[in-house]
Amino acid sequence: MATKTETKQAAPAKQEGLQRIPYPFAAIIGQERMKLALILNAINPQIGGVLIRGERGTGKTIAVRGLADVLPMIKVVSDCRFHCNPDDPSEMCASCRERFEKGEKLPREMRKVHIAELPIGATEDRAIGTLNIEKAIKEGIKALDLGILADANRGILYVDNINLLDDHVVDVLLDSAAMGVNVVEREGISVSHPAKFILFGTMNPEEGELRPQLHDRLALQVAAFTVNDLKSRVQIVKNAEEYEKNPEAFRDKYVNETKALTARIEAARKFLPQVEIPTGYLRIIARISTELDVDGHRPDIIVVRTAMTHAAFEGRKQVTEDDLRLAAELTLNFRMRRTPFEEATLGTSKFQQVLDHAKKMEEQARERLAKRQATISQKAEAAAPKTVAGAVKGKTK
Amino acid sequence: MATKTGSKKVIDKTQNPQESLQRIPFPFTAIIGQEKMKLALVLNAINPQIGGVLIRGERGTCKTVAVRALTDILPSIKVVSDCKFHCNPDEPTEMCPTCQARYYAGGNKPLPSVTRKMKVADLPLGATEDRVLGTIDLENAIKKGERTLDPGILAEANRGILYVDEINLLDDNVINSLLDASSSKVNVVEREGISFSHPSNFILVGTMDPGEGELRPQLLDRIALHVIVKTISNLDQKVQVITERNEFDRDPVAFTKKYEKQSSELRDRIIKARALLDKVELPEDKLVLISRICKEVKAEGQRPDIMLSRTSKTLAAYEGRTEVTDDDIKKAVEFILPFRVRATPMVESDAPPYMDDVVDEVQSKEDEDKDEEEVTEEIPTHVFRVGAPIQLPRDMVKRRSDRIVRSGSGDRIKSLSTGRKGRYIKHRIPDDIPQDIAFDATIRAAAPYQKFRRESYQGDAKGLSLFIANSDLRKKVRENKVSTLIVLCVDASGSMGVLRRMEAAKGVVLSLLMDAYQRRDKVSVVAFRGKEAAVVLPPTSSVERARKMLEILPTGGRTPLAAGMLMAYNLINSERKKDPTIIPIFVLLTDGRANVPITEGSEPMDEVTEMAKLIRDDKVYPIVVDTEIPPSGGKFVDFVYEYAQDVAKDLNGVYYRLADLDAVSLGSMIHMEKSMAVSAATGS
Repeated sequence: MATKTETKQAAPAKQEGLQRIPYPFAAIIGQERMKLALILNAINPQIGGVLIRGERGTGKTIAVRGLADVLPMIKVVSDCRFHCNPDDPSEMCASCRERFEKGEKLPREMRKVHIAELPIGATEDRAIGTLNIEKAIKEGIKALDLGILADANRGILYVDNINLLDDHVVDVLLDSAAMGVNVVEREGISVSHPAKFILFGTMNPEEGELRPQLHDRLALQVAAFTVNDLKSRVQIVKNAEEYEKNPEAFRDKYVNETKALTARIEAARKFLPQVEIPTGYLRIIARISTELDVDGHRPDIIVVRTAMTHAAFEGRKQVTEDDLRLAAELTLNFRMRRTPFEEATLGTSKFQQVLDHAKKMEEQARERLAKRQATISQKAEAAAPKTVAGAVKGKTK
Repeated sequence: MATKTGSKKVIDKTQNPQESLQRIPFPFTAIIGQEKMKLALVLNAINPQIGGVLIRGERGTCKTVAVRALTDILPSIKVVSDCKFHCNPDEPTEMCPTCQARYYAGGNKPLPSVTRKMKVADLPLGATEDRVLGTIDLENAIKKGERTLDPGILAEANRGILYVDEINLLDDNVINSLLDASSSKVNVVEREGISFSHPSNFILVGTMDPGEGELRPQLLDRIALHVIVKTISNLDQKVQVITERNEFDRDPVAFTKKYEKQSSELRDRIIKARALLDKVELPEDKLVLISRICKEVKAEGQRPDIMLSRTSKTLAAYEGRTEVTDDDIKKAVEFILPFRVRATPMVESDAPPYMDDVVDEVQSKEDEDKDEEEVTEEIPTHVFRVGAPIQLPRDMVKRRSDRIVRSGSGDRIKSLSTGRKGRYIKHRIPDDIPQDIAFDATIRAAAPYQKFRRESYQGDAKGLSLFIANSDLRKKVRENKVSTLIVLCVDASGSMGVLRRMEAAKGVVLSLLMDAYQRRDKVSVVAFRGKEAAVVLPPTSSVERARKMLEILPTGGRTPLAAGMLMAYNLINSERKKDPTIIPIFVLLTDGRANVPITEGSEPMDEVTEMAKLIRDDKVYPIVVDTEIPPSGGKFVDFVYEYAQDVAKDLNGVYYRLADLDAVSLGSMIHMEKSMAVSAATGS
């Protein structure tokens, strides 16, 4: 084989995909929690993904696919397969960085955040990329065929029925989710490229549980229920029929709502850096997760980010208690589950209780501290005449 | 696939014999009886949006005949003449990417087309994921160095009928791929370097024999209409069936002619109904009624509502009306709801006769809410709560790894794997042309011959940089961890209520389930009490379902132990049909005091011995947990019967006492493991 040693990256044999009009996100009735969780992730990718658990036929898949329409725009290098950020060399793929360092001005354009879908039947090699046999046989070049992980870089990777995903593909997902880099080491190819994505998954728990490691990777978790209120039920049927009859017309009907939501998400995205969280709240969050016996520190961080994002979505500069409760609910509810047999979903009211409890404990702690400080300073004052007053004051402060 | 008749085929594809043979189907209108099944099929023919039919029934109830005959009464369709996906030549949004490109390039003119009948694509039970989804065309890849899609059954089924016989025995991986295509109407292929999506809009028709296991809930939910077919019992009709069939076999052409008038009438009616469908109104109050019914029966998800409205509209159109009546809704309910209502285990829910009442009742009562209790109990029963889980002896459920190649995944045992799953550990020379080619090894094998082949190859092939012959092909050997199937056979008879044995037993079941959850095994529970046994939990890896089932499993009645063992045995065998390489583990929880035989008049305990021997000879790993708790709780030497120990001996299995298992959690693990090692050594 006349192998050229250089490893080239070639685009896969990607034919123009079938573009079906998704059911509009704004036309989904009920399921407010689920929609909110998705929106928060669209605003702030740092949150790190959503898992939607729910019975069959509750609109899980529709919601994620519909989200594509309301996603914000990002700046990308227009001729890069990995949708690299043209201004940040630390996140670039090897070829973009090389060009950047040479001082080349990278061509750029604005694009919607991309949802790459990983079908259940996907093989491992399509997920991570593999040897391009067309090039190998015809031209004798060892080239990499990029996988879905490359496509998902700086976007969203969506797996429907994520609990049914093959173990080996899950391993690959976990690796790159942790490192933000996809390393392809197979069939004589060795390449790595950035693969930073947020993971969206939907699953029906009746079909089997999710692997714990994957569970931990999905930041927010929400449950989708059958909508039981009669009026909504009727409306859902009407919408479904209308959409089925003419998807295009149905989408146009909701175009204003879609635009409004997109604009709100864009605004929240811009506003996010200005949002502040009172320092006292961080202690409360730490208390809550200790109280609920949650593993690891990741949940605490996610709660903070989610609370801030929700504040931004509501257009508030300050994180409030409501944001905190909501964030805790979205983040911690499924994480406290110790054994698979404990039904461990707490309602909003229960979370309010936990929050109140944490606040009370925090207050008590503060009071105790204040008391102790008071006694110390009293003692100090009593002792002050005998020593140098300034030094003691400094200590007790 | 049928269009491809190239003679130089590298891979032998599982061709559909019916397709190539062009047999005359039995006329649809000549089918006697089975009105519900026929109606369900016709409704789907009128409105494919309804979403398929599931036919439940024994063998030989003309399920397959009806499905094949359906194509005869279906209106013909126009298809792009040389498209593998049978695209619609007029509708660019429904085309495959290739046709779409051609359509737009040709100035939005309809593509060249032929008119033909809709086709039935068969999905055979043994079909692999590759065959269903489609995969890389290896012939093109190797000989020409081109990457093209070799379309699968989902491509063949586009704009036709996808027929799955014994759908409940379908491999899980195949079901997963079916699920998405059936709802999104698009098949996304991301396999073996191929990334392609094409339309896959089909009417799914499945048949199943409920005796061989239930359908997975997710799939059950996607198929809209469910009908039960039974063998015709009317003698006259039976005779008629035989004569008709004989007549058809003797001269199919003449027979078909005889029914031509009826067939064309039905065809016209379908075409009319199709045209009318768009005009059918579903008034607001009827919509509310539908939602109210779904709410009342606690159907899961919103799909039932949507299916109900579609089906009742189609029914109205079929009757030539533009207004949906209560009767339409009632009929639709019978098709859709019965199997979507959660059933309690061990309580019969075959053909729910109360569906009719539900509609009437919902209609009559407007706002008052009264709770309706179902009374189906005839024996005193008691539902025990689930006892505390215990710590299982380590490796209670364990087997050595062997050299059998398996598909599927899990975490219990390492195994060589089939298909494309698992880690590529090495390559080897294949017996025939492999699907799973190890390209690196193939290229290495071809390397020494390159010079020679370059000189000897002719024509187009000369331009390639690499020449590969069939003899160079190497196959990937993959390794995967697989899981086992644990079948728990639980005694739920009255004697289990003594001293709260059931509570403890449920605790043990729970512990086993938790262990299974961690290793991602599949678990199934068979319970027996009163006169019969039932599969209360079909094989699943969902702890959620298992827990719900355990909580409501009632206790009471006599002990049909042999029936329970038989049921478990049958279950294992039907799972074996799905996947012959599964590793079954049989756990029997009982006190062993059988007092109800399978066949009336025979000795219950003899039957148990027979069953035990049957299971023992069937390569099943048996574990017996004796639920007999000595009155003193095991502190003293008690007089105990230990019938279960005899059963364990007959089974040649490992034997545990429930009392001892409890003690395990109290710290005598070592003792248990020793006794286990001994019994394992003397046992299997």
